[in-house]
Amino acid sequence: MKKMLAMLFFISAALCLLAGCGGKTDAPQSDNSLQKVLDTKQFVLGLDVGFPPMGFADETGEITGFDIDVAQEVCNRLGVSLVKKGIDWNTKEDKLSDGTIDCIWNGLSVTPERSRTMNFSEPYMKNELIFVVSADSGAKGMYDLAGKKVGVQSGATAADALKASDIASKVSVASFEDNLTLLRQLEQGVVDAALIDSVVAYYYIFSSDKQFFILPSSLGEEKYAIGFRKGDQKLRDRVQSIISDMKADGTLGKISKKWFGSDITIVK
Amino acid sequence: MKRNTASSLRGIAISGLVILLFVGIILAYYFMLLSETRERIAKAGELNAITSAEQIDQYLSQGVVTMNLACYTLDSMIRSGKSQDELRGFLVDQSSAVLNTDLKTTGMYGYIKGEYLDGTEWVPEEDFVPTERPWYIDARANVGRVAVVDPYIDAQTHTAMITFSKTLCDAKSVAAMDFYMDRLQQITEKISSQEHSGITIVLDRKYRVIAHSDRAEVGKNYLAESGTLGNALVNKLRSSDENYFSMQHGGADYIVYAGTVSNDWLCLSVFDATAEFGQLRNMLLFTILAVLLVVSVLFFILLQLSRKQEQIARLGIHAVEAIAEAIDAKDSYTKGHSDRVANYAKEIGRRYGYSEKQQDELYMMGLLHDVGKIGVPDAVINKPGKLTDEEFSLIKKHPVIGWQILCKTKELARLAMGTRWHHEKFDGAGYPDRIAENDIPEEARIIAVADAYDAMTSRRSYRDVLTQDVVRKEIEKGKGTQFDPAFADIMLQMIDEDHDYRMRDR
Repeated sequence: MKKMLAMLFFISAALCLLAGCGGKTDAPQSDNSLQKVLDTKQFVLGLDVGFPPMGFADETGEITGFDIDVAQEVCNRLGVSLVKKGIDWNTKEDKLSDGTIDCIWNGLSVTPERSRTMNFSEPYMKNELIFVVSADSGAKGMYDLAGKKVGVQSGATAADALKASDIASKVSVASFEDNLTLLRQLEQGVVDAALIDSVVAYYYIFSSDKQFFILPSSLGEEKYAIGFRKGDQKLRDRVQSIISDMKADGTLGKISKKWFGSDITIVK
Repeated sequence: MKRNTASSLRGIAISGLVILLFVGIILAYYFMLLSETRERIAKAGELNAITSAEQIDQYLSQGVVTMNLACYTLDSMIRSGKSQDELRGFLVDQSSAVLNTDLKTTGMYGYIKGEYLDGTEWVPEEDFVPTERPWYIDARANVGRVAVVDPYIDAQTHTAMITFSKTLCDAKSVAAMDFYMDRLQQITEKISSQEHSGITIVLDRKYRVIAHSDRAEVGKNYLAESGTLGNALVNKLRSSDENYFSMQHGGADYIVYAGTVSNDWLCLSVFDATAEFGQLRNMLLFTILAVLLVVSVLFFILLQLSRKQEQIARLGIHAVEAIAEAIDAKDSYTKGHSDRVANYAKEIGRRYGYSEKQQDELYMMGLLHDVGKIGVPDAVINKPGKLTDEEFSLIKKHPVIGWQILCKTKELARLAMGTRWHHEKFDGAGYPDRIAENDIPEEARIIAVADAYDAMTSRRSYRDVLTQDVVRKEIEKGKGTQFDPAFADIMLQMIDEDHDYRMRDR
């Protein structure tokens, strides 16, 4: 009798297993990305320090910005300290893969090409590539830029977008290390227009006394996300879940309000 | 006896297995039906959901397009250095133009080049600070895209409105246009009143209800609530990447479509599938109950049957044991003889590798091996002195008499060979048929050894129990002549292990 009962249990258990408790495969054992951050008690964020208001050095040299505030909050919740490491935007992929930084978190636009080399978080903000001209420019649309010199940041998506645009063959392109330098060059008339992230352009123009104009045409909408190393799934997931919590408890909205006046994040 | 119970239990277990398999198949079928039903409801709802999202998106898009076009003109005017009056004039023209469209709006206004300009000729109050209004702040935050401002109470009309606003080309000026919320609400209610439509909900990016087929829900913040259907929907939305999913809440089943409408707002179509799923679940419950009932009845019958079987088997054994005792009773000196032979034979069989069933048969054969003594007169059996040839030939008849008795009963016939040939010798010198070696059935050869052993280890009228040593020598001597050497060896092994000489008549 006992034997048979045991058998019945065994069979029902086997059926249960068959019915749907299908096993989940665990993440690869080698992914110790999150553990490493928790063990060393630091999370190294890579950024180009001339990218206001996402991440930039203020007048005192302190690195601040929307991304930095969010990252700081994430680190507080992780119980680790945030290390802000300024990098050359051109070499960001190398710095990420050689382990100098744990992530690129600095208004990094998601592109299919970058997705092949990085592990992106969910997008958190929208951006557009727009043309900025100085007050005395006669250009009212992007086609008026034919024969002019357009500045872009090297290593940014703007350079590729310009190359793929209708006016690619009609303009000359000049590359600059960061966006602030680029806008200063525009101010001094070194370039006739700057193709730049709308998030940076509006922030810069609004806080500057100088008059600039934004052309109505954009070279497409982009989304910002955090770039992690391929394979650093656990770290990426943990950071993502904290950001998700921050959305729910209003912290994310508060930080967005501080930098943009309103909650413009697109975190689910 | 034990084995019979075990085998019938095994039978029950096997039928249990079959029934579990049935239940498994039923479950698999149920889940198939469930997903099919879900798919069916989903398909029926999909078109509706898409249409709803499109209608709402269309309405909102109209506003976005109108804003974009107007701002394009405003940008151009600013770049051309037009005066503030000319700009205001455009806003007035634009305001009267939109009055003739489907959009329910009061008109256009803006904060342009440091001054508030109004196309509706509304004059703001003293304390009105345009750069502190949500339409201005949100336009700036949305860096050039049309901002769909969160609903707010308009200072002018004192009603809930949504505003579309957009930063102009100098990054500091903003143009805006208000839309009455009730137009969106009307569209939402109209969609939900149609056939095959569920609840329609429009949520903004912060999961606040902009429009809802149930008017009372408008203005709620689903992300901040807890335990409500709205909150459950939002939690599911946030964790799911699918644009359609099913969920349970408060004992009800829902199928939900989520579509993105203008500026990351969400349009949800929620269908209540409780009735359909409930029907399926009841069906499953009924089927499983029916199967369980059948199983229990079957189980009960099998259990009764096995109990009966056990009783019958026990009855048979008791009868045979009684017969054996009756035989032994004929001879005062052979009391318990049959029982001991049966046990020795069974042990030999066990050591030789017999199955439990074969061992039990050997035991029965052992009990019945001397049954033929019934037909031998008591006087001959109990005669104390030496037997005459005639008396001895009478004794020698008992194997055949026993065989005849057993063969009369169908159930006992298969046990008769032990009775008939237990006095045969391995070399062919025995009786009654003088057969040798493998011609003697194996069981009879085993009983022959056991029988001889017990004869030597029992008291007789003329002698006491022989010593173990003598018995051992006798068996050894008979190996190959009287006994099958294989079984004689097993008997010798048993003697050697019997250090206290327990295997004897006591």
